[in-house]
Amino acid sequence: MVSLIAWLKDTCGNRFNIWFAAGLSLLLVTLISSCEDPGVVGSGFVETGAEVNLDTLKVDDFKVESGFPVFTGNKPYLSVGAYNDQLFGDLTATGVIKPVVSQSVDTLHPDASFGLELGISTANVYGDTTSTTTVELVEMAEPWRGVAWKIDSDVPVSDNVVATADINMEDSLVIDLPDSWYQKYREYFYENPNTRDSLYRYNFKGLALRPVDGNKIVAINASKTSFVFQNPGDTVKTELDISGWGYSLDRQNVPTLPDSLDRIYSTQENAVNFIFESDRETLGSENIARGEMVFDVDRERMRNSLPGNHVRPTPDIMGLYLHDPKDLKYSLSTFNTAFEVQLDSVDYTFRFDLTRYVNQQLFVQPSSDRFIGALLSTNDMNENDGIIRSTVLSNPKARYTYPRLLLTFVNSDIESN
Amino acid sequence: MRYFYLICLLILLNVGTAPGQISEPDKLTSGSIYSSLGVGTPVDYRASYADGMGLIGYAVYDSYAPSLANPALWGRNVFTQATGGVNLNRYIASDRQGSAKTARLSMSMFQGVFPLKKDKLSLSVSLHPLTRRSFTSFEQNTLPPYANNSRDTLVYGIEDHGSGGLNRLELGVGWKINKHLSLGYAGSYVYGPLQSDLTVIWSESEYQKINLDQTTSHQGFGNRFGVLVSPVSVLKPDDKLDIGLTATLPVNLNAKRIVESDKEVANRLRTIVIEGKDAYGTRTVKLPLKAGIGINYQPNALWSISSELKFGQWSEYNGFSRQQSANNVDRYKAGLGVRYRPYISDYETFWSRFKYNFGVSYDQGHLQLKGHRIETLMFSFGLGILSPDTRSSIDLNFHYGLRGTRADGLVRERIWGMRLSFNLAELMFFRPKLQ
Repeated sequence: MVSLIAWLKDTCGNRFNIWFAAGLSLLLVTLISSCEDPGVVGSGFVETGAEVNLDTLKVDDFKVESGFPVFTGNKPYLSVGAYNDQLFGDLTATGVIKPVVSQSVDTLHPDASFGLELGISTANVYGDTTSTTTVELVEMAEPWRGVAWKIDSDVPVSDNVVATADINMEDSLVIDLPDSWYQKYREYFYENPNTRDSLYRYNFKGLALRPVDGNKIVAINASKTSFVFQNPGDTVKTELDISGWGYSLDRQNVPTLPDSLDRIYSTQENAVNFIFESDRETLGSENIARGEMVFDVDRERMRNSLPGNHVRPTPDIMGLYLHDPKDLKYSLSTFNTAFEVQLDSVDYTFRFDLTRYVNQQLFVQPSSDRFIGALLSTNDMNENDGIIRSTVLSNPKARYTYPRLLLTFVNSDIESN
Repeated sequence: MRYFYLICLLILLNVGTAPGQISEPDKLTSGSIYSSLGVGTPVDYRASYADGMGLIGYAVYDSYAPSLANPALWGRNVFTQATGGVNLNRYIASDRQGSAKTARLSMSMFQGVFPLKKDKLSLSVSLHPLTRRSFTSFEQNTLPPYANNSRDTLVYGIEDHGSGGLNRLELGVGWKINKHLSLGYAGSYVYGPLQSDLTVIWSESEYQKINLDQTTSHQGFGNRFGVLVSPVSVLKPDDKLDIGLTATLPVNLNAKRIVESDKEVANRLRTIVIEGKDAYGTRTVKLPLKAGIGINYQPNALWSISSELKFGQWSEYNGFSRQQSANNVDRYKAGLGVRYRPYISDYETFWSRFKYNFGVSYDQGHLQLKGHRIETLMFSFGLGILSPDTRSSIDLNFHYGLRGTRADGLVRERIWGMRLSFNLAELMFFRPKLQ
């Protein structure tokens, strides 16, 4: 080392001490910069002044909006039956159904046997599971279209009861249909193919499924329901899909609820309509880490209103639509939800994460759209799937469980620095 | 000479680009945790040649390197001088909860001194830091179930990264009245932002990260004065004694604060003004009176010994936040150092070509937290390296010291650092008598 320094000194002359200083400096900078290990010290006296605060914003501008157009035709499920619900009133669901006519079936033999096979969703039975639902299959008096069928459509039936069936808790049920009705249908089947479809659509009236007895509503799975026939000599039955279906729902004797509660239906007959002020003064801060909208389901009331062996399809999903109030005359199914959330099965609440919405309201041009909160189907659909689900939500008159926005925010007044 | 400038350039390129800027934001940017309080840690503008003595240099003069210590020293200048450099400090901090190792690299200052009349009247222009804030703190908190809007425990952390500081842009003049007395005055514009970048992060992904960038800007004007007394020989015919005195008057700074936040809105990151300047209004931050006295005794040309006492009336400090001003107490700092310059008598051997400085200083500190003064004991060593061809030089100074205490949740810091200064001294603006 000494000889190296001596050699460098001889080589570099007096400049060596400058190189010596420069080299030493660079070495130290490199060494120190590679040895950082940031830890946590000083928490005993460094006060950032930042505090995490919680707040609850009660949603007062809240009402239940009803009268939305509700289409129940050609949905995944067809509800049929009657049930006297202690909480939601006396419900009667009358179905309508008719087969396709233009399916690629070669022959409908005049002596074929004809029937209706119902696929029943036993998981979505509504009512007394021990009860037998008796339905009459009645010839409709007027033609109808499935896609236009609404929940409050009149069911114009004739006097011609073509069959009667008892529905228990089976997965499927075949109802034999009389030859007279079959022959009416068969006439259309052999019409001129060029005019058959329109003739059938405007003239063939189909059947009504009219509940006449029982205390249970069943959800008929449209994808597993068909008309079936068997030509003489055939060993198996052939299926004919259904071309139109729907149901009408009648609610009577709906009991009065405490004024702190509102009924909401998954059929989207009604929905909650609310808005909250989202300016800084109301929210208390602009540093919102989380904004969570909470609706409470009255679980005890829901549970206590069901006698033994009685069940009620549970509404699992709630959606929030954001709309200009003038859009509310349209069916909710024509819009997309802005937020969707699953029911919290522990505390029976619907909790929406509105953090992004709140921040957009604060920092972008605020929207005056109102929230429409509606129950949704459970099958990844943002609309009514045909199953009747109902719930009871607390409204702003509730003492503790009122609709509320839970805010977690950080104060920006960090004075201590 | 070109080698000298080349080395300076290489080192500066290695270090960074401008005062207060670091090329890599997460590296070498954290200093003392105590700089989180008030306007940051006061920076003593020590003369580069006195730094290794642990002194500011009120009464220490070097013909070839400028000094900010005492405006009166400028009256003695013969050469046009400039100085600048870098500081590198390493902090090993610990309290009862944990420890941290951080480092801070920064440009130290710039000063140019221009003789208007050699050894009589000189002008000084400088830009140098008055205070520095550079720290990172982290605090973890827990909100138990149902105390955080959910039935689960919520853990969150608050990281605070402080930066910035006050700077002084100063113009001054030193006047050597006679060989026994020099006076100096400097007026300055004091300015600078203090920043605190706060980030709140959460254990649950549903919570949005919150960041708040608080910037407090300051501006004001300051004045300081200096006196240098050089009596005749005191103990023997060839010895020298210098006495330097300085006073820096209180500075009232107009301070304004703004708080901004980066928000992801509509899939875009936007900087939002959370609290505008009107929210806090304009407040007055008062920097206190400071005064210092130093004595330098030079028994011969090779050796000198110096001592100093500095006082800062920090109890009169008013910060932007009144709450924090209560932590400030009057500050006293004392130092004792020795300088040895063997090259004056022998420039032949390698080790004789350096200037050597040693010293120790004790700083009572300007903070009193939980009843404890935040004191600093610092040992210093410095090497002065002469340019082979010119009057310029490099000062390489090292420090090691202890600050603070671990009592009552406070932090003790082991500090060691290096300061590298480049001193340029040339005869300029003089027409040669003979070509």
